Amino acid sequence: MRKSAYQIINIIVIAFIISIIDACSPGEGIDPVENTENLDYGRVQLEFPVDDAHVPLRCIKRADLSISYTADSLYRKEYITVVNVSDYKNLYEVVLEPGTYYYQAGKTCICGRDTCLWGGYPGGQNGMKWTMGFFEITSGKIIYDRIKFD
Amino acid sequence: MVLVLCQACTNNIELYVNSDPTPVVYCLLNPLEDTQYVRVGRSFNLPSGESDKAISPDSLSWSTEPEVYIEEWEDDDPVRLIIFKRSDITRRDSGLFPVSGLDVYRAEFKPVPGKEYHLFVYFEGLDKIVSAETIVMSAPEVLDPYNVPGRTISFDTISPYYLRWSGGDYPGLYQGLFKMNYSETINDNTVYESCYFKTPVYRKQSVSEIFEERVNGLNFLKSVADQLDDAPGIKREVINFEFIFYSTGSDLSILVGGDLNEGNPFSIIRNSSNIYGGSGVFSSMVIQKVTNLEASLTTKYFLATSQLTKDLGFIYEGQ
Repeated sequence: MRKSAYQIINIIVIAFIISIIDACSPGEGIDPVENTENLDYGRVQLEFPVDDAHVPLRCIKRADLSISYTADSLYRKEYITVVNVSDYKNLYEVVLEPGTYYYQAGKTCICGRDTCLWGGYPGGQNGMKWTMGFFEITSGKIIYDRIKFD
Repeated sequence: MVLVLCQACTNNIELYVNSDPTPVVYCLLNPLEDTQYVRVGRSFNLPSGESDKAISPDSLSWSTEPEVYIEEWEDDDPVRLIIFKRSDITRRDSGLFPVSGLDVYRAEFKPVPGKEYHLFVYFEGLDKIVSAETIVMSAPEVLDPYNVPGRTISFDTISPYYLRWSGGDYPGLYQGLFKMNYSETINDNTVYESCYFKTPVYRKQSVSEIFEERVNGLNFLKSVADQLDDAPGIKREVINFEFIFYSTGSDLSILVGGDLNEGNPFSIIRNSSNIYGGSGVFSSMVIQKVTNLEASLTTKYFLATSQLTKDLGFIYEGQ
């Protein structure tokens, strides 16, 4: 009985020390995205592939992924967020309140000569291909969509 | 007997004692530059009660000029000797460099990443020698931010930013600095200004293909709010961003590691040095820049409308 009481006290002391050490780790400050685990928000995962039939992969760069409340807001450039796209990330997750959202995605081709023109990029080098779509956010749910370029 | 013992005891503690000055040597080799610098100074004691007095430049430099040289080593043997010469220029590596009072030595050579270098500072008349060794880091490759036509940098409170880089060999400390260039117009007078947003210092000890660190957009807004003052009638417009990436070698990482983890009782290493016979640091450092990064419309929108920055006069296209 006495031994088990010591063990419990030991566990409490160790847990206390760990909580103090953990509390001291340097952080970045308030992060609104971390606070969206509650059920008032939902998540969308947008897969942004950059494969093109006629253009080498190294030539294509993700350029834009912007989200708006309505389709015409996209046209007016009234975005609620512009996702930071990268050449090293295929899947983008955004936390949003429930509702319908519209997105536009753009990719560009940076290679010279006729490579980009042959791949259907308007104007060739640095030309952009655009697409758009929509998704529905539900509280506490994660939905997935794959961005398609015609 | 008791009287003798009592007389031997004293309560006076001598806080300031005269001692020989110690060489203070700083050298951060940059594998991307053709010119390298070594800074040589010396430690000093201020006499008791004179701590508020200005430090005389003579207190920081040596009366005798030392011989400063670096050896490049290969397979445990020196294969190349690089002699440093005293430099009079005032534009130097990062750090605080007064025009006078600190001696800087320079040599024209480009360190090779992965190679071992030995630094020596020899004071012939004083019979002092300072030495240190380091292995030069390889320059990291900044992957994000990257300049792509149509791509923007977005610091809004919904989408975080991710820094990405490949570390290379001998990784150490990394820190990013976003410089926001903007115009400031008041009474039809326009001036161009910039403010800075620095990321935390990232300490990496393992070699990884890609490091990824998240940057909080809200901290960007806080940083801007801390740096700028509001003024009636002022209009500010974001022009673009620059990204400056600082990387240091593993030696420097170990030395400042204690400061970074202050609060963690297991990693307090302060006031340490990898210089033998003196103090300071001998390591490597790389500074890289990505320029002309376009700000996203939401970055401009949040600067113009967020609680933190709405009084600073930022405008955006939709206004």
